[in-house]
Amino acid sequence: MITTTKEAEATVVNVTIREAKFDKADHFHSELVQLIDRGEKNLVLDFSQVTYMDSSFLGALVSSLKYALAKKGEILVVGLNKDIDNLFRLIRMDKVFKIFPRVPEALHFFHER
Amino acid sequence: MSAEKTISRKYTYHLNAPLLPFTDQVTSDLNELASGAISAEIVFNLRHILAELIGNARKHAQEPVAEFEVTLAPGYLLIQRLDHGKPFELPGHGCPPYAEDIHQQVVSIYSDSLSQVSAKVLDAHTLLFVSEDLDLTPDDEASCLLEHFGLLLISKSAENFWYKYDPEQEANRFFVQLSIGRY
Repeated sequence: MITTTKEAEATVVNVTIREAKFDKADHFHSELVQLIDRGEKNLVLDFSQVTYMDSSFLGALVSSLKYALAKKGEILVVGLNKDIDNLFRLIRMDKVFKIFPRVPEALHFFHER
Repeated sequence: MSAEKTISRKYTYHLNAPLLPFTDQVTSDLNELASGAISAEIVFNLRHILAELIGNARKHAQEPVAEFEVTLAPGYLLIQRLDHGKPFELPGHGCPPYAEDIHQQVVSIYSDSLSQVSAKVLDAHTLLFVSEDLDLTPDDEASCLLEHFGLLLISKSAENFWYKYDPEQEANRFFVQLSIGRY
């Protein structure tokens, strides 16, 4: 479901599923928690391969963010297509997650922090 | 875009079936009924509303199917979902029939620092869901955010969203109305 690349500023998590739905939500959350527990607390989640997301998956994402913040980490989001970006804005998740167009902008955020 | 007459289609969705082929089928049928005049925004809202209604049925229905009826009418689109599962439990007030002393009152279902979802109790068997944006201050912690967005997503996508329990049929009916005149 995910592949990771360790960069100097953060770990880039490439989400490799096309449909991010309820049936994948728990597994996705577990994978992120494992990364955070390994000390990779700053994550850039790249959703550029994801074409659809439902609210259950978004709930898993919020849960992962809460876990990361509790461990003094951060989760940034990149590569949202128009529909998923609209979904984030509709339920105001754009107020919760820092959203960037692409990975380099997110890494730059961590670099400048 | 406005339909000239009222047209309905019924669907039976098996709760273990893949989601997206079903939502694609409904939106495609609707577009056909409306001669291709359904906007991208309506399609976006409709897909998410169907997905959330199915997600709700998966959690609460006590049978393997959910019945849908989609009605295209002049100026609006109405989506109905019917199941025979457990009736909607209003926090602090239980299942229908809802007590008379809370009729016409608004009861909070859930809220966090971003949003609140409530239900206005219209009568013993009917709830009207409403959502409200709240102010997230810079000091608010994400730790208090809720992780369930189904009712919020539907109520924010729809013009009207209500629930009616039919005690004779022991049936739950959810109704979601989308205005199509404004697009």
